[in-house]
Order: sequence, then structure tokens, then C-alpha cells
Amino acid sequence: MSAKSEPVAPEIEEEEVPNKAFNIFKSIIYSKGYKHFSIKLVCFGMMWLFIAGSFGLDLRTQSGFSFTGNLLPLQELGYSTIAYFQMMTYHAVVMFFGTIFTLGFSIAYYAVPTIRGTKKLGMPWMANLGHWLVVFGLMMVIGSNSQYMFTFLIPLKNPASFYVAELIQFVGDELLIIALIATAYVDKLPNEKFSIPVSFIIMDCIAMGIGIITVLGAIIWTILSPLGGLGFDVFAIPNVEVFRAAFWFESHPLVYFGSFLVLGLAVWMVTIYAKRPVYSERMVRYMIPVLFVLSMSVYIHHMAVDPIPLWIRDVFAQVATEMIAVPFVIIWTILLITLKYTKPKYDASLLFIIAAIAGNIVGGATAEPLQPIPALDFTVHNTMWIPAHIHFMMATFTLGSFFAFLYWMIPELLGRKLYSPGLGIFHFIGWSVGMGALEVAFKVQGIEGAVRREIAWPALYEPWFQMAMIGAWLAGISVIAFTTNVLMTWRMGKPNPVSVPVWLTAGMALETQAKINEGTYDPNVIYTRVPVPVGLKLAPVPAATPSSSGRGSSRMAGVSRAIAKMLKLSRMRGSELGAQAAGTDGGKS
Amino acid sequence: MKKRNVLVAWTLILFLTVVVLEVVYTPYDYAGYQIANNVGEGVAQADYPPIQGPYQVVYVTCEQWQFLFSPHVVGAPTVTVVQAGVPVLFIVRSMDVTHGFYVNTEGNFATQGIQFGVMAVPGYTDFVTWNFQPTVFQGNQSLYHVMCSEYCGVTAQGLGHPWMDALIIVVPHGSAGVALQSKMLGGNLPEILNGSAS
Ligand SMILES: [Cu+2]
Ligand SMILES: [Cu+2]
Repeated sequence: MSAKSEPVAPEIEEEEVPNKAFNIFKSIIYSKGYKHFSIKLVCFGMMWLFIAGSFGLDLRTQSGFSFTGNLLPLQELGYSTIAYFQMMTYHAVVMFFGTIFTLGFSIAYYAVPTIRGTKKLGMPWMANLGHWLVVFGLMMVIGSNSQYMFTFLIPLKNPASFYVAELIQFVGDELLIIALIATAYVDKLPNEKFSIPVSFIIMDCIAMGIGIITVLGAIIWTILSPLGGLGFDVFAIPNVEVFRAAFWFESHPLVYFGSFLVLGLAVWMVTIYAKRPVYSERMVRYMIPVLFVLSMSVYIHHMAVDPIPLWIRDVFAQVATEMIAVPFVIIWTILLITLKYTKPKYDASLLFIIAAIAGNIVGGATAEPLQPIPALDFTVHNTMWIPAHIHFMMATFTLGSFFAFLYWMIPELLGRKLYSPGLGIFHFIGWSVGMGALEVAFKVQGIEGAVRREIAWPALYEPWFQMAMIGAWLAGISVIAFTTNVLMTWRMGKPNPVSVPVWLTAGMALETQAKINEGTYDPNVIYTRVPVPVGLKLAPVPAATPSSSGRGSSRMAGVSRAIAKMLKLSRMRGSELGAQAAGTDGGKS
Repeated sequence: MKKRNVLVAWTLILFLTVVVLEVVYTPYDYAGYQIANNVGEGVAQADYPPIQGPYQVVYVTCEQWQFLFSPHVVGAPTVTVVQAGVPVLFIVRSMDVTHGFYVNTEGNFATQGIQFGVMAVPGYTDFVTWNFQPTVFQGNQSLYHVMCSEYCGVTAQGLGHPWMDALIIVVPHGSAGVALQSKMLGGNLPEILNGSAS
């Protein structure tokens, strides 16, 4: 379906075709509204999760059943070793660029217009085009018959279609990033500033946008060299280390990309659960540029065999890699202090956030010593230790924090209450325990010297492969529970139309309160067009501010009953606050 | 305590931890040979490890899909013999694509398994050193399994990355061991260099 659904020009005689099916098709191709676009991205993100997840389950099942070198049980059916390695490539590429990117974009494309109150996409055509290019590119990757993990293993030769597919997909991602930045700046008021979630998203998009340029250059270089397989001979085959530098300069922001998209939202979510302002709003904001600089410089730790001067490696590879733990630890500390002594409601979202923090700490702590201590690095390099690290960071941390917000976002987009919070808890347990088992098993194997990407291993490692298989299936079942919950919410959930989500008013009020407490509150600055109470305490609230749109954020100052109500975490009725909302609902396009 | 002081103190503690880690571990950075089992990895063009005392040199050439040793056992270029107790400097190169030279006894904590490795990147000469200990001997020699740890392609069942492997035979230090080594290597012993003399 997706391969042929290239974007069509939207101006094809709209009026003359009163065909309902065609209109539905057209609206799937081209989303005008941000909500529609976000729903589309959620659907595709889940589709990628199922595709890439089935590749992963295939790998785990194969390894769980065999240590003999024969890929039981599917070899009987003509299943080849090459297919096994291809699935490994597709699992990684589709999980990163399909699941993580698409679900992350769905969250960001919903959160930014909602928080700012603009309720519209910045460059809708570019966002839609980018999305379809990614879909097309990833479909092409899966069809490309490539058996190599990504492109940085040059001069291993991939099929030409793989390089072209990656080119298409990265152009699509770059367009999505540009359109997201445009969405964050569209209709920007002169006195408007960005709240914490939007700031994180913009920082992240700038980092990723710069990073993708280098990998695009490397891919184009490859295509124009004899390695590309298209008959071009413009450049020589790229030097391995230069190519690797280009690849990792993109890929290090890439591994943080998903998590930074929701990090700001996670800060808000914690404050909302804690029902108090974040411990230090200013410190969280300081960490944004720090994370930007460090996430762009740690990539040199992958240049393990470069003959670059040791002091440069010391500065970038070692110190920067150790340093990036600092902003993360500071943010986690601030969040845990914020939660301290509060009695939050432990639903699936909060549990996912806490597990994500734990996953980030364990995954980060086990990766930190690698580069600074070659004595450890040369022991576990390219062993299962590394897949364990990446699963901690991507599955437990990044995807886990996505799930946390999706439990708020999806019912809002569908205008219904979540069908079963209990199923959400089951999803959390299955995902965290399942992925946790897989990650621990991988870590142990790594310490015991099991090389990754293998088809045969001594019996010593087999029990751990069995544990990883059981964990993977548990996680897979939990995702089915999540999907069922979403579908049931869609079809059978109690109608609960939300015009202004409570997390927006609550999060904004708590962020403002933090500013008031810290003395950084400026009444002339607005962060959203949606009227929200200024803060929690009504202490030094200045007079209503005439902003350029005439709707300052302080307009609702003093509505203390609304604050009390909103902090009960119940979705606010559309009629209650929606009537006061500044913008119109752009989602019903 | 004021909130600002808490945060400043916490940031300083984290920062100091990083600095201390960096200072403490600096002796291990690319340091090459350490007294016990230890070693370094790196790029030959940048620096050889500062090995003190004598060490054996073994060249490893990686290609799809085999490791070729020099010197090697007569008739078997994927097997080499080294002495225990004398650090071995493996100088690793690749003829085609990126490989991983990974030595592994497939042990665990209980059985005192060891593993170490270095990447073989085309266009670069990389090294890794290891001092094979006499303590792990079973009989008069011990075997170490070499495998490729960087995925380098598969063409068919039985031909490709998963089947790219080699063997290191470690013989005891001393005249008996050297005699055995000499016999297996056809008299072509690894060059023994002296680190302090260079
Ligand atoms: Cu890294
Ligand atoms: Cu290889």
C-alpha cells in the first residue's frame, strides 16, 4: 500500500470528484491538521513497531532454540543464514527510523501546536512529503536485500537500492525536522518564548538536522563512487574512518533524538504527577544547551582507530562521553526531588517514566566506562554487551518514555477515555520485565565474551539466549496489549472530547509557578496562546498583560478553583475550558 | 540549605567525579602493556604501546573470510604458536573490509575465561597486546579461539563471517616450550623485540 502512495498533487480538481472514497484517500495522503497528521504518524509508528518487532522476535526465537549453528527451527523451511543477518539489519534500521522516529514525530507534532496554542502545522506539505518519503525509503530498505547493518561498514558493498533507499529516507527525515521547526516558529509572537517541552524539541531538531547533513553527504559520496553500484565513478571509495566519522556525527544525535523529543514533556508530566512545580526550572533549562553541545561531541568515541592526536581523543571521546552523564543525572535528580514525598497516582504513564529513568541510568552507566577504559572496551567491544546497551537506551528509556506520553496523547486524539488502565499496567509490566530480561541476558553474555551478530555459539551462552527469547516475547505480547487498548479506546472508549488538555494547563501553570518561585517570571512573556492560570500560588501576580494578540497568559490569573480541579488529573471537559480556549480546534480538518 | 547551593554542590560533585575518573584511569589510556594480563589497543600510526622488556610480534592479516598469521604453523596459516609469559604484540591489518580480531576462551567468571580484541580497519594498522598467563594451562599447551567480531558478510551457508576463525596455541615459557613452538612453526619463530631498547 505505502510503496505506491507517493504524495499526489493536492490541487487535482477537488470539486469535480464528489467521490467519498477518493476524499478519504486524499486526506490520508495529505494531512492538513496537526491532529490528523499526528494520528497518521501514530498509526505508521505502530506499524513499524510491529514489522521491526517481528524481525526481532524472529531473531530471538532462532537463537533461543539453537546453539548448534543451524538456525532452528526455520532452516527446515529453507530459511538461510543470510536471511537471519538481513533481519538483524532490518530490525535495527526499521526500529530506529520507523518506530522511534515516527512515534517521536507523532508526539512532537502533536505537542508543539498544542502547547503553543497555534494548533497548526508550520509547513504541512513538507511534513507530509517527508513522512511519505520515509515510508517509501524504509519499504525500499526492507526490499533491498541488504544484509549489512547500515552503511558505515564500508567498503562492504550493499545493493545499490539500499543506498538509494537510505538517501530517500534521510531526505524525508530532514524534511520532517524542518517542518517541525517551522511548526515551532509559525505565527511566533514578538513576546513569545518556548516552554520547556518545546525548547527540548527545537534543540533536538537542530542537532538532528545538522547531523543528518553529514550522513546524507556520506551516502551521496558512496552512491557517486564505484561502491554505490549505479555506475558512477565520480569519487573514489570513501576512506573508512572518514565515512565512519560522517556516520557517527549523525548517529550520536540520532540515538538521543527520540528521548530529547519527549524529555521536556517528561519533565512536565512529573510535575503534574507530583502536583508541584519542578524543583529547579532554571537548571532544567540550563541543561538544554549542555545536552546539545555534548550530544554533538561524544561521537568521537566511535573513532576508535583514528590516528588522531591522543589529546583530542581525551577531550572529545573520553571527557565528553563521561560528561554527558552529568546533565542526565542532574535532570533525573531534579525530577526525583520533585516527586519526593508526593503521593502520585501510579498509572502506566508514571511507571513508564520511572522505568525510563532507571533504564537510562543503567544503560548509561554500563556504557560510560567503555571508551575511557580500553581495558574494558577491548574486552566487550562488539560483544552482546553493546546490544544490551542499545536496548536499555532505545527500548526501556526512549520507547518507554514515548509510551508514557502516548497514554495521555492517544485518548486525547481519539476524543475518548482510555479503555482500560489495567491493560496499561499490564503493558508496562510486560514491556519493562520483558525488555529488562533481554537486556540483562545480553549484558551477561557480553561479559562472558559472546560476540554479537552470530549464528552459533557454545552451549555456555544458550541459557541466556533462552532468557532473552522469553523476555522478547513478553515484550511483544505487551505491545499487543497496548495496541488492543488503543483500538478498544477508539471503538468503545467513553467519549471525552478534549479541547484544551489538562496536561497543558497544569504543566504550563506549574512551569510558571516554578519561574515565580525562582524569581525569573516575566509577565510580558507568553508561552502559549491558550489561557492558563499563571501559577499555583496567586502571590505576586502582575496585572493582565496586553500581548500583541490581546490574550496574555496571565488572563486567567486568579482562577484558583480551576487549578484545584485541573490538578486532579481528570480530563477537563471541552465545554468548561474549550470555550475559553483562544484558538479553534484545528484537528477537525 | 538553599536550593541553589544544593544544585551547585551536586553539579560540582558530578563534575569532580568525572575529573577523578579521568585522572584515575589515565594510566590505562592507550597504555599498552600492563604488568598482569593487561594491554592496550590502538592505532599503530599513532603510537605503539610502551612495552618494557621483551615481547613477541605476531602479524595478523584479516580478509574475507580468514585470519592469516605470520609466523604460522607449517601448512596452516590460520594457526599460530606463542609463548606464555612474554607479551604478544598482535599487529592487525585488513585486506578488504572491517573485521574484528577477537580472542576468546568462551569462559565465564568461574572458569577464568578471557576475551580481548581489536578492530581491523582497511587502510590502518592496529595493535593489541596480551600477556598469555601460564596459569591457565591444561597440559603443556592451551588453545585460544579467534573469531571475527565485526560483521563482514555471508555468501552462503558455511562461507562468511560466522565461519571466520583461527587458533592461537600457547606453549609454556622456557626451553621446552620454545622447542615445541619451533617445531610447530617450522623453525620460524616470532620476532622477539625489546621494548626498552627501541
Ligand atoms: Cu556512542
Ligand atoms: Cu570478518
